[in-house]
Amino acid sequence: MADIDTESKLIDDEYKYGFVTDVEMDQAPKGLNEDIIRFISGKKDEPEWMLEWRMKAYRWWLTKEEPRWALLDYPEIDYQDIRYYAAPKKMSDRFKGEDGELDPEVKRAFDKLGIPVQEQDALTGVAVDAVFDSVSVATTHRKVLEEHGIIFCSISEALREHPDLVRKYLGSVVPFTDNYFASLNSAVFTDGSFVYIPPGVRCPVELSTYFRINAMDTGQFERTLIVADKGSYVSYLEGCTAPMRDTNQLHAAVVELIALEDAQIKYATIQNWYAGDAEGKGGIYNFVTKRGHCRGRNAKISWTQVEAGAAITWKYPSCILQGDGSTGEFYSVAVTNNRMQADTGTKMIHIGNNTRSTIVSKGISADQSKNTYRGLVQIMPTAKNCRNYSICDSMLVGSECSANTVPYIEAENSSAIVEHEATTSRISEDQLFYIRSRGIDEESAINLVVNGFCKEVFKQLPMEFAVEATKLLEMKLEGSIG
Amino acid sequence: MATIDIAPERAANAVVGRFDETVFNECGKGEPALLRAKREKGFHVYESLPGPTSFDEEWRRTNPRLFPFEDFRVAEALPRIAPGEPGAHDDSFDVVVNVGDDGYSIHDRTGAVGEGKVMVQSLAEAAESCSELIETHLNGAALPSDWDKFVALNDAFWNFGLLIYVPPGVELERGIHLKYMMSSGAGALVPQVLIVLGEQSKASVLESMSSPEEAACISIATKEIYLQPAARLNLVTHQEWGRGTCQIANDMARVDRDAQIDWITLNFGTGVSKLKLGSDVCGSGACAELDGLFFCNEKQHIDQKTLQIHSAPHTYSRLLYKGAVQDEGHSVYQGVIQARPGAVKVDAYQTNNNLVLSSGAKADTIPGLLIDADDLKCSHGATIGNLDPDQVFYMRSRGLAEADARRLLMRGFYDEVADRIPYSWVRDQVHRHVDARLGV
Amino acid sequence: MKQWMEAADVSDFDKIDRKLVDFGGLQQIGLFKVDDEYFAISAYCTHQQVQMVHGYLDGHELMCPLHGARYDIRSGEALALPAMGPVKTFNVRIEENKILIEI
Repeated sequence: MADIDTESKLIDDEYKYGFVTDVEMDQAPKGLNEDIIRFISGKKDEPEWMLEWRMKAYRWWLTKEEPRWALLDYPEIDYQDIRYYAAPKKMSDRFKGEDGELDPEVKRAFDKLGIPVQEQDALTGVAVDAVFDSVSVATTHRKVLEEHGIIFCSISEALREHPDLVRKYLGSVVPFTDNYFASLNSAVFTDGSFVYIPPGVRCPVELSTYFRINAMDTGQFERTLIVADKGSYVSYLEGCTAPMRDTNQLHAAVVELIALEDAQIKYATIQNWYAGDAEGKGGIYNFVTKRGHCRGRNAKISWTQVEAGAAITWKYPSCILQGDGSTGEFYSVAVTNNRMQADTGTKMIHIGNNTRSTIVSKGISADQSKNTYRGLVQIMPTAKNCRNYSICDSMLVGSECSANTVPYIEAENSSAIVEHEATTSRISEDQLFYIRSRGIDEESAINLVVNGFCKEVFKQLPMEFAVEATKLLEMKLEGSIG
Repeated sequence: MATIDIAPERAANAVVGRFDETVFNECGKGEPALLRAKREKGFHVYESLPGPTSFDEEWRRTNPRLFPFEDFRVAEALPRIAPGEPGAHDDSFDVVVNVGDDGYSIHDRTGAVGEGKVMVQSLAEAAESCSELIETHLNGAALPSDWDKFVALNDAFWNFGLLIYVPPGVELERGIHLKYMMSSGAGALVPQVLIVLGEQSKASVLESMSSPEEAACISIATKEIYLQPAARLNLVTHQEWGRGTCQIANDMARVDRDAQIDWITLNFGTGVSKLKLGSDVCGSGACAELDGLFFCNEKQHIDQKTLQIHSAPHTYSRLLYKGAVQDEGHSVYQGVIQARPGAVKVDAYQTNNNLVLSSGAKADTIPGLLIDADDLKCSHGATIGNLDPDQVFYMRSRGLAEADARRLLMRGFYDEVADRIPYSWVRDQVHRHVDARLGV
Repeated sequence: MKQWMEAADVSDFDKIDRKLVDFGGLQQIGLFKVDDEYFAISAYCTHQQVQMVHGYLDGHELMCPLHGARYDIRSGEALALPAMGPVKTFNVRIEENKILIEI
């Protein structure tokens, strides 16, 4: 295979989401202390117990140290040099209504991103909650969802309109004590989505939230809580982008999923945060805690993720399989190029009997990036007849990148069956040769092979998003062949 | 019993058990300067490394508290003694080395040593007779002192040192048996073994370890192996220490261009052990075949970490580690395949199969791939399960009692590796161990 | 075979509410005093087997300081994730100002 000129290596001016929106912002001063937390809670008009919860989390966070065990190399984060609240001025002092007076600049931004935020432009079949920096700016499809008794709104709104429901579930899957970034998030989270599906209801539309970071020096700390009551079903998609900047911005989110008896939650993410330039300057630090709790019998939670951005990714969407017969799934494609670093994976904890988990992780590393799969499959001693199947493959494109696989498997029950396999190799030369001999150019041949490699994961995405994911991968790997 | 400080220790004392400076000054008295210099370097590294705590990733699954280091005094250097009564299978070997509480003996059974076909000497003797070999290889590239706290401990405090050297071009017919037998408690056995095979030489080594079940003993061992180009070593480590014995071992082999190591590790003994072993295929064409068997039952805790390191292109390694856990046994297996930058055209595979035979027994498996080169293929597979109930049913339907069916299936499971053991009596012993644990 | 082992003196608890008792090997036990009653549980959290006796005690609820797992020290019951299962409890009795634990 011919060597590709280094000049044609992928530079992120292809990152078409890299623009900045000029809009008047209402911002908190930089730094983190109890006053900032009171400020955030005040802006959201939260109940007293919520402020107390945030404070408890903040005080806990102060006693903890940042975890540094992952295979990630990054400079110290100065937590005082971050702005913890920034919202378009027009939105922040008023609660948005159905006809939401959206700041025209903000609307323009979402238009440019292809995200319909006004009811009239709404895509059929996909309800959208749009989050701009620290606030949710619009939510579509409200009437349709109300008819089914489904609650889909920003978490700030949920705290005002449905406080008891939120209080019942918030922090029950990811307590503020869980880890450093979850503690920070619990203290300063500003917005995210709240979803509640009543018993027996199958959500008629895809629900999705789109996160957009805009303001400089801010961090984004969103909190999402999805509760699927008995026998219900919901499919949810999360997307995110950020402007190109040469400083790093922190994104520390927490997502909690709760599936009660016979309920099913499908959660998909297409993560395309700005990843920094070819020299590794700038880019988002993505430290996320995502966890699903299969609380009831036969509950099912599936995580599907396409991680294509962020300078640093640290996230392990997990499933706690407590209900007997519950199922957890994790499908992931993680692409790293330039100087990106990803340490991602999943945890499947089998507590109930007859629980099942499937893990399919595909990693692609290019240029000088570093991609690590880190996972845990744990079978508790009282969990009978559990099954896990994991496959973790890594593809190396180029000679300077690295791919690591670190799966932890712990089984304490004699009826469990756990199977794990992983392979790391270069992109298959045989496959490329065959395709090229059919007259297809090198670039397209690589895309075909990569698509085949990721097929099992893309199959899990709703169709439009599978198409978007495919295009995203093509763009990321353009010019990275070696 | 004592009431101790509430907050758990995060950084432990650098001194492990009674291995302190006073004791160090008593070690290796009268040794050649070359060895003394190496000991001092080892001690210096030992002092600078913190002791293990359960917060360290290395020790997370094997609490250092399981090792009663304070209970053992550091034994004096073992003296050389005359060979005693020959052992059962001594006839199968060229040289038999016996290491016991009172001393060690080297028995040149076939005259191979006399004829210069192999050198089997204490490190002290070797430091005089072939100092260059010792200078280059002891605590060298395969296992430097800073590899691990216990390697440094061994480098400083070893009380039994052995060199096995096969000159270039020699094919040792029957090989060497290195036999350890501990009986009395109180003295820690700290052996340091160096094996060097010259270019195009060939040898086989059987290492066996045993002690009475109730004897409280401890062994902190290192083994460094250097295979020069085109050398071939067949090594079997048969660990059958009694339940009262604890073991920490660090063994590494450097396999040069076109050389090959076939290494089978059998771990059936000890109450608690922590082993780290592996190979670095560091020359083009080098191969490493690492196999292992274990069975943790009752309250045994066995922690094994294997390393398949590839530092050169066009190298090959294969690993198959299989074992079972039962009762309250706990096995931890961590396997790393590491391809260093530039190690292209590497073919590496690792398989770990575990049988969990009772609930409450625990098998942890952590296969790992750390890849920094691209043109290669490295894979690993790990399974945890029980004996296949369908297969048991099938055998029972053919008239076999359940116990016999299980025994046959276990035999099949273990034979995938046991069949590769070149010593028939060792194979038989593996079968006996498995049958005994199954209660057959 | 269980036996009663001396763990502490009643007077030890005049100023503090807990003690970490070490019976050797991996037998470390957290001994707590709440409202004039004594409770003994294994010192290790069932999540990652770290020692948790110095965690936050709220009534009869002990929280492991590492990830926030919570236990009822009376029954050993796991009250909050990430506790994976109950923690072992031990019988306690007082004999002439000495606190004994049955192990």
